[in-house]
Amino acid sequence: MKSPRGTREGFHPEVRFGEDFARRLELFCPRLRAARERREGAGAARFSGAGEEFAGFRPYRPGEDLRQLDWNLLARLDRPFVRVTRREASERWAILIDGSASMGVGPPGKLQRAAELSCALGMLAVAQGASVGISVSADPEPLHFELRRRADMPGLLRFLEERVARGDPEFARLSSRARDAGRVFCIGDFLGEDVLDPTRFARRGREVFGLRLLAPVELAPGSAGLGGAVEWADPERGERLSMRIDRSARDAYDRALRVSLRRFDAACARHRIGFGTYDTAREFEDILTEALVR
Amino acid sequence: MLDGLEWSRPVGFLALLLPVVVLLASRLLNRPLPRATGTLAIWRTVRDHRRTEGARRRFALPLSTWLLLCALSAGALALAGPVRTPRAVATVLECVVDASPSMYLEHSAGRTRLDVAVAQLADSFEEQEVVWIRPLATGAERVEGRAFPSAWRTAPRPPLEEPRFEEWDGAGRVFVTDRMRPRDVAGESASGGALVPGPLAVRGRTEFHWTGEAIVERATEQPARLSIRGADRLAAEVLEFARTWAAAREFELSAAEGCELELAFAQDGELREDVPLTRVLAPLAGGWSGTADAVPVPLDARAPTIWLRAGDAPVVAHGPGSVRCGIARLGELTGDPAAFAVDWAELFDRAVLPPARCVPLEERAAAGDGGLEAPREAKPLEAPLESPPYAAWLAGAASVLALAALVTRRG
Repeated sequence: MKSPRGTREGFHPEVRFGEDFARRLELFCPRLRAARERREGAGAARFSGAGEEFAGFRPYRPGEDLRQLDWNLLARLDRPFVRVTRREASERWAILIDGSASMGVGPPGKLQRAAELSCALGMLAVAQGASVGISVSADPEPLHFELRRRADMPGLLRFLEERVARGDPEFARLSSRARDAGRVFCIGDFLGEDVLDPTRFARRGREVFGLRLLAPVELAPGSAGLGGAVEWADPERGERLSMRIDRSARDAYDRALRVSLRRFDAACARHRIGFGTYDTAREFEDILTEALVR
Repeated sequence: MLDGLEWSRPVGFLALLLPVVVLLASRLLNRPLPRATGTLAIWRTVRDHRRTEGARRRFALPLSTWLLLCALSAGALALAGPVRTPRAVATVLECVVDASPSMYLEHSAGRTRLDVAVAQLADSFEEQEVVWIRPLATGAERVEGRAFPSAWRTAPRPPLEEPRFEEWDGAGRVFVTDRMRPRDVAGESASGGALVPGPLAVRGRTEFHWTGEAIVERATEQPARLSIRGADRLAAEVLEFARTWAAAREFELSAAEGCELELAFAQDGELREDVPLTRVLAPLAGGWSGTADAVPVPLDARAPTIWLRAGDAPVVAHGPGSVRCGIARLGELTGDPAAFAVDWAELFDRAVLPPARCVPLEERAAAGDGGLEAPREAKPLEAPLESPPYAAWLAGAASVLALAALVTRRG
């Protein structure tokens, strides 16, 4: 595929699943379960949330919703525990993927990693008996795939491999796809304060997770070995910026990026949106394990 | 410094292509690398904060590259073999200066004949080395350089005689004098000049003045003078003779500096008790002899000539305007008594200087129109100027620059 408006280096807009991707997906659910057991103890190793079938208890962690606290246990044991519940079979998940051109920045492309994450989340949902709607922002209309059982997985892979990071579609339009979902995963780079408006996704009784993916060259240009004269190109708007990257420039960029990320994280935290920023250089298994087992 | 710079290996200039290639390659390698990013807005913020510096350094080459370019350029120039060749006309002009009294007479507007002759010669200098030569009674003084020796602009004491120009007539030589001389090869810068009236001689308080047509006597307040130093140590006979000579010549005795003649008791080193002073005098002229208590006198530029010995030691010496005597006491004289007086009178007459303002009549004569003629033959430089080691300097500079480039790059 031709790069948009002359962008060459670091632009990987397409999605391609490797031959062993299916096997990695199969292995991911047991791996996640094992990780959760190590973290929370045996018997509670399920990806679960609020308001569903009771599954057990786990220790309370500072910052968690106090409504989840089991006051009886606290009174008896003098230690805080929260209730762990299992979602009912009829629960619906929504996975919303940013398909804009900036998701092609890599390597690997952010859209590639987002696709892998959505597959893994889909597997997780199906394993728990939930149905999943996977939506990708695109122009003129968002594209959608419905995953109800494991047999639909090949179709999901094909659907995702047909997606290309391009244009600047509005991510907020995906909110309609999450209307009836009890659990929403937003995956994108969310660069720009108005891209992911927490108020559009936060609902009472709904869990919202934000997975922000940034390419190494965006997250830590110094670690990416970037230096000398660089002409930055914005794949979405085609804007260009030539400048010399040296240590002081990288330091200034790091400071500005941290400020931007912190501001956005704070907005998500206010709406109880679980949020994390991840390097696309990491494999999807690592990212999800860290995002879900914490 | 770069006059006459030539390149012994012009093909070495091809090496200048190397820095050009490095420059182009560096520009190529430093060409902005296009990179996609989703954080361009943040980079723009960074750029805006350091806009001034960023704009200036946008495509600037690193210091190490500049140093490398300079090193390669210096090396290429060294390869081309820069040498300074002798100038096309590698000749020397030897200016033989007439320093006789006539040259210090006024020519016009306060300038002497020497000033005029030197000035018109200096105006004619071309690309050549210049050497000024002032012939003396024995040998000659030589000064290299285009500027005329300033010390030669005042009349020497004692006056110098006119050079024997026929001995200096040669290729590459030019006479600096006041009147045209017969020559074969040499050139000439002659000032010319009208006759110059003035004093010829002084006797007592009478000055013999030449008006240009006749010699007239005039009274003067500047008689010739004799100064005697160390009179208390001089032999009484010598002292008496000196006073007699001064009276006969109508000299006045004076203690001032700059007298026409100075008689001084002088000794070479300290007097020693264990060395007998009494010596047998050995006069250079015949007719008398004797003994004396005498000490050796020093011989130097003021009194270089021995006139009387006692044994092997000089006890009387003289020079222009100066007589040095080491005789503290005369013993018995033998021979013709008159010969003693005649010998001493000849010594004083030989040593005495004419008054500075007195110039002989023949020197005051008109010198004609003067003129300037170049030598008929040039005189080549015996040893052409050696070229400085430009190639070595450039190679050294290239090495230092390359080292600096390496250090800068690593730093």
